[in-house]
Amino acid sequence: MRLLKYITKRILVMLLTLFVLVTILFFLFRVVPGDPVSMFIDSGLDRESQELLLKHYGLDKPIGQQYIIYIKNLLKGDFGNSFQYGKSALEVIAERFCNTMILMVTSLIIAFFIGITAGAALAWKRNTKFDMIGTIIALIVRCAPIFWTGMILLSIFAFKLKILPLGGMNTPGMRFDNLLEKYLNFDFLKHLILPAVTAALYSAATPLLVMRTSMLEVIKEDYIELARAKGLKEKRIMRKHAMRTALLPVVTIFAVQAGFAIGGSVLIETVFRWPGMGREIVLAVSFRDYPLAQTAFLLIGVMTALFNLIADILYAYLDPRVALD
Amino acid sequence: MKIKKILVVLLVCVMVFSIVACEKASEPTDNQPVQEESVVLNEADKIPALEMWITSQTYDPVRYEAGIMIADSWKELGFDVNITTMEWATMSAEGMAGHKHDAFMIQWGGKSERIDPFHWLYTMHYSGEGEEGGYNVAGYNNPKYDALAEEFATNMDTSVRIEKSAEMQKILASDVPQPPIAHRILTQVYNKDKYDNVTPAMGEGLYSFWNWINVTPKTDDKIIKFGSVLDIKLLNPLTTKTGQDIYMLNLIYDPLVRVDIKGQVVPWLAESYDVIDDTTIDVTLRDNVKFHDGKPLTVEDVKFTFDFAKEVSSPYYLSKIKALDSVEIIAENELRFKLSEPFAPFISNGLALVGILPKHIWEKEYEERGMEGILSWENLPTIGSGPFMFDYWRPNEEFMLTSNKEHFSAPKTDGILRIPFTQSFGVVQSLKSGEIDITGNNMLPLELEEIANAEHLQTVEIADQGSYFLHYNMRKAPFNDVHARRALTMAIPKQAIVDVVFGGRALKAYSVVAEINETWHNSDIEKIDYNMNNAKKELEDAGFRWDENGKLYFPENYVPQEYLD
Repeated sequence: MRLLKYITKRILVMLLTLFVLVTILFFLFRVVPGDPVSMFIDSGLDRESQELLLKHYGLDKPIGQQYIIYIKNLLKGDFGNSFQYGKSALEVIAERFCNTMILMVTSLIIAFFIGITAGAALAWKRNTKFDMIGTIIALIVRCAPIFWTGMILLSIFAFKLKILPLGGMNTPGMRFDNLLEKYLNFDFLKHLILPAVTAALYSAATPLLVMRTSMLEVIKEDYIELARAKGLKEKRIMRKHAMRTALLPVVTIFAVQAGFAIGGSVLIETVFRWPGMGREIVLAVSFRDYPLAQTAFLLIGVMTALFNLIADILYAYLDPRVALD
Repeated sequence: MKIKKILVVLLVCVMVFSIVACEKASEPTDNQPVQEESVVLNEADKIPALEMWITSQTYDPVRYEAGIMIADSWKELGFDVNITTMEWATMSAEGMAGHKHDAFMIQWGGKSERIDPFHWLYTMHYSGEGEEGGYNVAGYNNPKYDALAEEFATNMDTSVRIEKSAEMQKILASDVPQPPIAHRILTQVYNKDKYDNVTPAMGEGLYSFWNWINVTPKTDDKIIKFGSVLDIKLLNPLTTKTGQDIYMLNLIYDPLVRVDIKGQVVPWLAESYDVIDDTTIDVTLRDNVKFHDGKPLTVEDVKFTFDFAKEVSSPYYLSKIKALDSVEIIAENELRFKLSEPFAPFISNGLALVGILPKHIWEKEYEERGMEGILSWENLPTIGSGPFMFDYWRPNEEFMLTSNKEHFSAPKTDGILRIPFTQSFGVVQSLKSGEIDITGNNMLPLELEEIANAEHLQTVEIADQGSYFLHYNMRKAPFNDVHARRALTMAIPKQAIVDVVFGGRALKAYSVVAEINETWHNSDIEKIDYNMNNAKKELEDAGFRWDENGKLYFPENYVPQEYLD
């Protein structure tokens, strides 16, 4: 019962947070000088046509009224039409979101695989040259700008060796009958490798370092000594006994990293011409495409809030004292 | 421990010293000028600091670097100049629309409809366009010029218009309300092993309609792959607003007439047209033209397009046909266009830009979607009658057009595959690797170096008829004074900007109508160029004064002179 009450409370808090977010987003974009038609100067629209466009976008009404209309529509599930694309902002974002998720989930899996195994190995060989060099490499990759790493990989694998494509999601000129066909083919996989690896290298360092520290703690525990005393093989002790226990803190940072990954995909998408959400957000903001920008940020907000909610509930479940507060 | 103590003492010493030093340094400079000025010149006469707005270096290195160079030069002349870096949308709203600026630069594109210099001479300088939101950004308001502009806009006789245009260019070159600085030399690249007959056009370069019609494949690969850093957004001709959309719609939809590569109007869907009088134009339609869905294109479709644009208040079309009063069908293949008032560029800037819509499609969609809905309709698949047909589009990935082999001016290629890039780096690498065949990007000097060794690539060059303008604001002092404007313009280091900022790939501009636009350009004008001595003299002769620190002051009993005469 207590847990249920706690969860309800958390959900209510989340909804309130989202409402505040929606409001802030709405006004934030409109407070910045400039409006969507100011970006279309070059097409030579005259004053009257500019006003017609503003009216068409609903921007001729007072801002308070715009806000009420926006909230009303939002409650009906209507996020508004993108100024740039004409169609529903949610539809535009959904397509791009899919592309970003595929890239980011792949890279996170690679990152955590590399991070966990390498982190454990480094801890196991602590204070050796292997440990030192490994940690330094991890730190260097973490500190290098992500677009720089991407460019280096591109110049090696795409320009010099010519074994991987320059960018994009598919070889230009391919036709697809449906969405599945677009993603489930070898060509797509080839295009996915470089951006996913680049993103993975960047985000692998955090789990690696956390894993290493956590392993160092675990290694000192008595039960590891006991396992050794039993005469078990080193590898088996590392995998079965130490790594399992050491994994817990790494799992916690996974949620945090997932949230960052979506926002941090902008540079990767730009370098590799990946048709994802990050690129779209930048365009939406610079073109003053309010509905599209609001929807995109709201989506990121919802994701973050959801991850937080899940974490909160998990904590309460794992540690009942949390729910008492 | 000892070392720590010593360090702390040292740190304290340094801090104390620097505070004292700062105070000492700031004292004399604070007091000195005030004392001197109060003796000679009145503080109230000091020219207020000029605000120069520039974009970030990454957004546009030209505006960033040229802006700083100009500001430095103005400082040398005795003006105080503050440089502010701004995002383009903000600058556009505050300056282009709000007219709250002192000075900023923008690059006005040289699209084909601007070959008739109506945009440069009327829209940008007629006093009626100077209100908020109008494109007379400087707020130029010269009655003598206005009279010429009105004649230029309404006289249907081209030779009279050319005469007026020459006179107007002369006035602008001396009055300099917003001086043009430089025309780029557009430098674009294509794969010469695979394609031939690449035709850059004045102002649009390889984006030009005529390039896509003429380009001829040399191999069996007949789908030309086109790389660009910008993507299309919306293929609805009623609400289109970006240059990229317009270029593509121009290939899919046919207008009645087109502006050819030399800037002349040629009949297109129209077999011929006849200017009956100042407000009447008769158009005979070409026979046997079909839309991409196989339905014939008739006078009904033509009349519908113009009526429909008015009925739904199409922002894009309406801006082109403001002068149009009515369209009547007068024979099976003839139409009569009535204008509400004489408007000379109606054919080149109006009829040439309105693609004819298929009535059977738009009427049905209009019924279903209503007025607001039709304006934001995606319009996919896009059905027109043009030489290229919409095939498919995956936004941010690729856009495919196939050739309309039945068109009266069928392209030589089988289609265009358009690939949007996020950065010009990608375009250059893909050209090198052969992934794309042609680009509409203007190549920068560094990028040209990068492709210098690629033997399959060919560079084409054409001067842009658009140019970078420096917009002053004549609503404010000192820009309301013609002598101040002339002096400021004489302090613009045009040659250095061309050499340093454009790497030599630009031409200095003196007239608002580019030299490459031979029909309309007037070269018999005052060519104000960089000369600091002349600039100082211009100010001196007008009575401007300098204090001991070289700062500029307004003349005594000052009444600004707005125009030379």
